[in-house]
Amino acid sequence: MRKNIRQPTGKGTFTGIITCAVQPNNFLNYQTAVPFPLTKIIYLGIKYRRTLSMDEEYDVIVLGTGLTECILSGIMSVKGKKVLHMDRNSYYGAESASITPLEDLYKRFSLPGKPPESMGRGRDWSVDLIPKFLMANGQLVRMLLITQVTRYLDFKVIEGSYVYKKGAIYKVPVTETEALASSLMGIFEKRRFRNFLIFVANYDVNDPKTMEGFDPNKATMRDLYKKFSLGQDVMDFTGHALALYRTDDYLDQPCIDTINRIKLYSESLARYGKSPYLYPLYGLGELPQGFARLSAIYGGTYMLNKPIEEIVMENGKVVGVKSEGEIARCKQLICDPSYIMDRVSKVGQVVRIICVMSHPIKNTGDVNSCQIIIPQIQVNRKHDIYVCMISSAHNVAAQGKYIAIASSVVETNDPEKELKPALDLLEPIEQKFVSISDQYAPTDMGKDSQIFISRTYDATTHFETTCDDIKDIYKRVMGTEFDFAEMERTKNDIFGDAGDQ
Amino acid sequence: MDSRYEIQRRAGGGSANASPALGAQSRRRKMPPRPADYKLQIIIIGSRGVGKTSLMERFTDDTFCEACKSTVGVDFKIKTVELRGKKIRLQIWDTAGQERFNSITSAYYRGAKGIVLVYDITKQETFDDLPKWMKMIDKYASEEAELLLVGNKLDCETDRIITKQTAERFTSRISGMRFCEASAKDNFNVEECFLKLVDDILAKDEVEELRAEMEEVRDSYLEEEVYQVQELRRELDRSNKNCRILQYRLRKVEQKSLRVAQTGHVDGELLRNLEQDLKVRVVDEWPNLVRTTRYVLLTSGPTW
Repeated sequence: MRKNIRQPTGKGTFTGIITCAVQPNNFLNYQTAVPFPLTKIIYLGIKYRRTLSMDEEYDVIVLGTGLTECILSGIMSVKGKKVLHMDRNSYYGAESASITPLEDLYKRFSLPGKPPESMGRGRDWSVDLIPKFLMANGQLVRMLLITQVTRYLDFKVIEGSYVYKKGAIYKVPVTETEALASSLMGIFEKRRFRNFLIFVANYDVNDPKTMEGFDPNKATMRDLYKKFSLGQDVMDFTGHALALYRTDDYLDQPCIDTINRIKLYSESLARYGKSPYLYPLYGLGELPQGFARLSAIYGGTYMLNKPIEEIVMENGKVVGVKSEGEIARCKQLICDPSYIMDRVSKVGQVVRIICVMSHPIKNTGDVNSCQIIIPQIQVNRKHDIYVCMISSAHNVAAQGKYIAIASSVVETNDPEKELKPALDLLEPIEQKFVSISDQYAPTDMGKDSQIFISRTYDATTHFETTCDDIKDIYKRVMGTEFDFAEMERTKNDIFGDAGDQ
Repeated sequence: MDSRYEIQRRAGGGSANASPALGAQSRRRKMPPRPADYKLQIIIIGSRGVGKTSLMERFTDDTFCEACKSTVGVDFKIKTVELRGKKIRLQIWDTAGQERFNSITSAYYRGAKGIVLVYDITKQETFDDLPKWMKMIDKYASEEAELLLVGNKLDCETDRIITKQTAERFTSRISGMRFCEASAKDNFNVEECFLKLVDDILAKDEVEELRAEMEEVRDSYLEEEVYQVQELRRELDRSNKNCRILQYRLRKVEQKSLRVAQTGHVDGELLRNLEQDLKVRVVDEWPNLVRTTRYVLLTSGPTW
């Protein structure tokens, strides 16, 4: 185990006892010292160029290496800002990390002892803490492509999306043939639904003719459903399986939002055919690591295992961060709620149960990955329940094992019981890991304090809300609207015989 | 489909993507590049300041920069080499400065076929850090990755602290780890070290290929033998059948000859009737033939 190395104080004087002979060295920058295992490591406090990291001024300090923070760090570094990115954990990802090996997951959930032999090798496991998929045509994929972080990642398409209806699950159809054969709605309803889908597909915000006399900014979704005479079944299906709303509140909102969501779904589906979702191999924790690397390439400094003691303020504005007795100064601070609990407020709770199984989910055709949506109306709740399943095919579990994570917004005092309909679909379950996390939103928007706090990851099944949060924070930090072109790598960072790339 | 939206695989897109945009570049070269047979990912790790970037730059660009600070702005460098008759494109990844505070991402270790672990022979602590790097490698890197330990800064022989024996003892404890010493500044042994590593990776791949081939050959031999056995069996069946048919025919002929022997003499009546038949039948057409036939019949007698 590496011992903590105390950084030099940088005052330009000799401090402490010289416990070794000083080696005359060339001008490469590193600290000269000979470590003695039992004594504290004492450095000569001769100041070198850029050896000290804490006692410097940065443009932005970022606390927490969750996906939101890593993407923002990447954007800032690419724009040329000097970034210091710290995390109290020993791993990247914070709340959006993938825990590996399996022993660490058992430790995190305070399960006694070690994982049983049947779980295979611990290092084959990489279990996500929050269950989410990427929409193939969504904003996160766009960010990945523009920043070329795709160089560090491999993706697989999720094999299918299923919806729960009256105790059984049905596949969400992806082709015309499947749609005709599906028993999710009656035959006449399918015809009306098809007309509705054609309307949505043709709808173009710039062409008023496509609106057919309907103003989507004023008319509610209920009106739109009525226009196409769609029944309750179809309304549920559209709202929860296509537009991916968690509640029925959208019915009385302007339908422009829903139309865009349905478009996003069908465009994502059109890319790869099987489902609209992508998943990175080795788990969602690879995403923040990719963006962290981008930030490091453009000059960002990374420190893990760094306990943050205090955020130093002056006249209501942030001036620095104190850690291990030293202060790093900054002009702006970006962090996740866990570093600054006095400026956030709780907005809800999410319950997530990670289930390990040795079999695929029943009635899904033995696919190795899928999503199951349990609409709230089917289980008498206010919010939908989601189940995300992945397996060893994604290098996140040992051979023959499947990981399914059920999640939803907490509504009662017994969150575990609320997910029972989802867990029943997954039986028999070998091991369960239950977590109930509080959701926070910032109360301080940073206008005066220059502290920009992100939101906790919510219970939605994809990253669109995360990207919205990133864009919002960007606007608060920079003062200008976010533009995807800002994220493009400004320099060439691949060298050599790149001609035959 | 818009090619911008293609999610490319990590090991670079298809090498034969000689798009028109790159045409200008290839025109500048002496000849258009042949697509590589192999793509290999190699990562370099080690403590700060040991000379990782210098080694990489010496290998890929043959340059050395004395006053360079901690690496910024390099994702990876590509170098194409020819080894064992194959063209190999090496992607040599750099740590992007994240090792400075022990914050290298676990994703960095994935997919690496070769890992170059560097220490400075004039600094004891860089050698003492090696177990820490080995722990990371054991935790995150693929098990098939080939390891190479490089003691850099051989030009500072006078300041050497870590002897070759110490390093060799370290590598002997880890199976499959190679060791060499090099100097990026003096360009000593750098290319040899890298090429040795690549050679070993290829050898391992070749061994795998050979093993697969051998299995295939063995399988095909087995198949052939099985086929031959089946053929012989079929032949046997056929000859058995023929044998039986011949035996049957033999029996029939034996019965016939027995009957002939029993009847004994030729019935003169039968012969005369036969003559009559023949005469009546053929007298119109071939009278000569009838006369000669009669003669033959009378002279040959009852010998049949």
